[in-house]
Amino acid sequence: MIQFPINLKAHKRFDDFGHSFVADIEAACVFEVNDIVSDILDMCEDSTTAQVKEVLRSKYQESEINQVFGYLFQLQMAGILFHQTSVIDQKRIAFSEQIVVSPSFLSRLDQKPFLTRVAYHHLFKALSQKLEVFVPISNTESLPTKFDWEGIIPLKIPTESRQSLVRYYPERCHGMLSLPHSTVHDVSLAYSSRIPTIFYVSSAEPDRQSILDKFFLLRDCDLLCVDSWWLKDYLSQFTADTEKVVVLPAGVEGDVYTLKDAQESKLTLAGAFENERMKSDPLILLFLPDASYENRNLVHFLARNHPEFLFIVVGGMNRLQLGSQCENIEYFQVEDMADYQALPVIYSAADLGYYAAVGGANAFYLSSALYCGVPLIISGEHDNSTMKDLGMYIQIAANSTPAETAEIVSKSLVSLLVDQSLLARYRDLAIRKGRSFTWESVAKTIKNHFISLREQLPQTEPSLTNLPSFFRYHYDTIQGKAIPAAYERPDFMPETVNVAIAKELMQTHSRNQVSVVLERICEDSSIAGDIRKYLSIERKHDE
Amino acid sequence: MDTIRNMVHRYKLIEFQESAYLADLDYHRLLPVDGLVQDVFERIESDTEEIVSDLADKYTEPEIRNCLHYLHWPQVQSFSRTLEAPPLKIFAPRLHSTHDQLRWNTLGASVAHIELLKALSKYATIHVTQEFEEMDNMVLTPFNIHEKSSVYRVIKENYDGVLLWYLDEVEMMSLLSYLYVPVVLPIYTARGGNGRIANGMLRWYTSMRNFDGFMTLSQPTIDLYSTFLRDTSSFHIVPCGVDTEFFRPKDKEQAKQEVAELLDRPEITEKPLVGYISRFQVEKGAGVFVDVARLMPEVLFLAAGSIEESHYCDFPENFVHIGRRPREELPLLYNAFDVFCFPSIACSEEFGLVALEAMACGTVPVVSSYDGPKYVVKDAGVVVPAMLYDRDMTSLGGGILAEDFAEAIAELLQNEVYRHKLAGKARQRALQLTWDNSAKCLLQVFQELNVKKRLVGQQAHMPIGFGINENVDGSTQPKAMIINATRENNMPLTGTLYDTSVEEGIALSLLRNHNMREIEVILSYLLEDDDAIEECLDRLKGFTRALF
Repeated sequence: MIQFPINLKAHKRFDDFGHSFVADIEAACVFEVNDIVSDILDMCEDSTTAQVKEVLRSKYQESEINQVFGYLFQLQMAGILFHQTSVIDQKRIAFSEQIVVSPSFLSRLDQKPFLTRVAYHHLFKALSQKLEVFVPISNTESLPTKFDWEGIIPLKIPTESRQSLVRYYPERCHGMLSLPHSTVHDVSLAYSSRIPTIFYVSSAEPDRQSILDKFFLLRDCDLLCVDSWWLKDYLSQFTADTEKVVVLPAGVEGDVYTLKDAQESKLTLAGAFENERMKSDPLILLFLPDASYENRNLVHFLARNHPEFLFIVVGGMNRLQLGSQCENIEYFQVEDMADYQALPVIYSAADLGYYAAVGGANAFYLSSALYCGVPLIISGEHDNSTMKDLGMYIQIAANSTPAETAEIVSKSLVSLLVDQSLLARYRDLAIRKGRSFTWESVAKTIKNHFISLREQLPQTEPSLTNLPSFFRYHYDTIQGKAIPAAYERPDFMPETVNVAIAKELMQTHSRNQVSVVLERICEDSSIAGDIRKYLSIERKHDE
Repeated sequence: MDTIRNMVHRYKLIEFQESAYLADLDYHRLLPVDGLVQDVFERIESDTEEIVSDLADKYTEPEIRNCLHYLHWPQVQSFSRTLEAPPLKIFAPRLHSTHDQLRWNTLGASVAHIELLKALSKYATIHVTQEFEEMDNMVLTPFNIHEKSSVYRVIKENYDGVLLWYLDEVEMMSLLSYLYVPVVLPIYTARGGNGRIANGMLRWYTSMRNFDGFMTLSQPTIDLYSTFLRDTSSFHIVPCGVDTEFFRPKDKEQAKQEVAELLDRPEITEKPLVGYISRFQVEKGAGVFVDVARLMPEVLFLAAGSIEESHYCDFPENFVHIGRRPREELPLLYNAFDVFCFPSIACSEEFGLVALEAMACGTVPVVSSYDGPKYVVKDAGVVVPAMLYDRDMTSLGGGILAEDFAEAIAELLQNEVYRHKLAGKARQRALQLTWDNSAKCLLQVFQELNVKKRLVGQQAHMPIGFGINENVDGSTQPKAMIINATRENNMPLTGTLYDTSVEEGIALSLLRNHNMREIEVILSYLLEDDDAIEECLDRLKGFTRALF
């Protein structure tokens, strides 16, 4: 189908002998045009195909219009008349500072964890300072109640537009933000709407496959923001190319998370927990992702190995899940605003914290603990230079037993607690690094990314810049069989089928995706690697 | 030419971006105007010689005359009589020159195609691009596939179909890229040429659209191709025919007498006569025919057709080769034969037109059980078992024994009743295979393809992505994902992402720029199992047809 608008550069229209004609200078062809074609030529440079047809319908029969379009399409394919394949460049509109948040975050919003809803609220607030943020709500929907909407503008979508939601967005907004804990439906929405999309995902999300899918399906105009370095490390297991993954640590509400006096905080906690030991014993915070067998045992090992310390398990599990009666273990979960506001007191009272930076870990705790100056021992599965800058980083293999982990963590705990100057250094480090974890910086980063993503507008139609290869059977007279073969256009030089497939996919898919395909279709990894290298070289030449 | 005044087209001088052009409104060309064209055009009302002499100071005579010739390109000529406009209009272009005149033409394919066009012209308007004999009901349309104005004229004509000549004319493939009209390619030879023919067909196969097709002469061709192609629905049988008025039975004794006189060979009336009419080549069983003659010294063997000088060697006494004979003598020769022998083992033997011509004359054919001839003769002659090769051996598709042929011929010659019964059957069979029937068959093919064309519309495509599934045990599996979105900003399915195999994802992704036949080739590469390939193709076809 002919795609309008189209630039009629080398065309000349004229009348003579009682008829109208068009001369296509480049095709060296001249032909007579009738009324319908004449009307089309009048509109084709400034209107879309749909718009042209709409106007034509008021004058001509549908069958006539279809016939003419079929005829014109043949001309175009023959290199006559509409033979430029490029459309008029989309105007680079200045970034209008309008973005929309994908509606999937609203799904069961009231049932989402408290911390998730708080994060949404602060993110929106911060974003609203930098951008016009719309949250799509239909006319008939009521706003979720367990959410603080202050400062956020719900974009009321008219009912009829809701059905064509995918068209609504690009007309109103220049980008879409998919929030943590959103479904893969946002991918479909992004592809359908054809607007640049930032997918912001959290390591605390239970559905890791969804994050993996979003990662692989990123287009040139998309970006994946992860709230933790270990999530980026996780993704890098599947591919070396994580260029489109940016770490955007969760922000902290500076008004609430202020540094308090340590001694006063300890006293407050002792009263709140009714535990006198909190006044004087070393207080260690344990940040574990969940109540798995390994984590429960880790807590037990630590508690038993160090009866002199008092441990508070923050988030992740509760007393019931741990099933332990150890006297030196307390629990704290943020389930409501009171808990949320009490957390800074716990941070201020703590001497030290251990943070397991693994899948499922809630990045908010890392950000907020550092923000409040808690010196941290951070463990992770990979060697990560960034996390080494946040605290005492220890690498623990994924298959380590709880006992092994406990031994390593214990050593680190003791080493820090006996060396007060070292502890002070890590505290200063935490404060210095933690101060950058604000929602304002998250909002600013998101805005900057949206502006740069505008340079990578999604194509209206994924088109090939190079001619696709030609695939056919080749009859082998010796074997008496037809063998699949590929030929590179325009000269039809033979090439291997693998390379031909990969070359074409490279034009419409990311390198990560093509890597997946090559690993699958090549007989062994070395061949896949060779083809990848070959294509990378080609791509550099194209660029 | 004395003057082009009355022959010149409608021209209009136009300017575009500081250049001048001459628009030929009749022939749809655009000619850049230089000084020569301008000067000639300004004098276009004058006689040719006046123009030449007037401009002699500025340009050479050949330059001027070439320019005049170019300005005066032929108008579209028509040879058609005043007939009621038939319902279909068929374009039958040919790039390369036709071979020898029909009268002397020994290439079966050439003969067959011309006869087919002649028969077709009774039922459809045929536009041809080259002249040949007896084209009374056709329209001569000049055509240059490399010239856009010529291409435009083809599009403008709005044909109902295109009938090509030979699959060797690969330039014609460009028609497939812009002409939204069924294109039919005849396969007069199915294989041979050291794989050239098969590869040519395969190239066309993957280029063709759903509403294009191949015209084969017999079922064995389709059977052959089905061994390495999955979709043979585009192959349509349009058997050759025979002019049953021109090739008709005559009194055999009378015919023999006439032939004997014509060739000055009285022995023709004295012995049983076995005939052979074909190119005298190994593939056509020439060697076998000579051997049969050696085995049956009491019978006279007569061969006609083109022959190389070097092939005249050591023929037995009862063997006569009379060289190439004009077409109008063929009915007489066929009638003179008691038996017609066609021991062709050419791998390109898709039909065996000569056997049918003999049958039309009421002469019993003896043929090898090889592809086309077997299909043509059926039970109206004798089919001698041949060894059929799985792969061509040079240009041979099989082997036959002269002894087997000799035995079959002997039986026929000895049993007059049997021979006459078969002769009657042969004539009856020929009456079913006329060119008129071939034409009607082909028309039906075009009609069916035009119906099929209606189903081919704008195809919706969904974006495809590739990724990895992480299993519970930590292992990974590559996958493709169908993303519920189309180019029209539409989400036609209810779900969001649908996982599928990488192979299926590749096929769906490449379907944007390749047709289903190319996808078939790709899947043949990616999947080893035939059943898996079939299943995948069925799924793809079903899915793409369901989308709208």
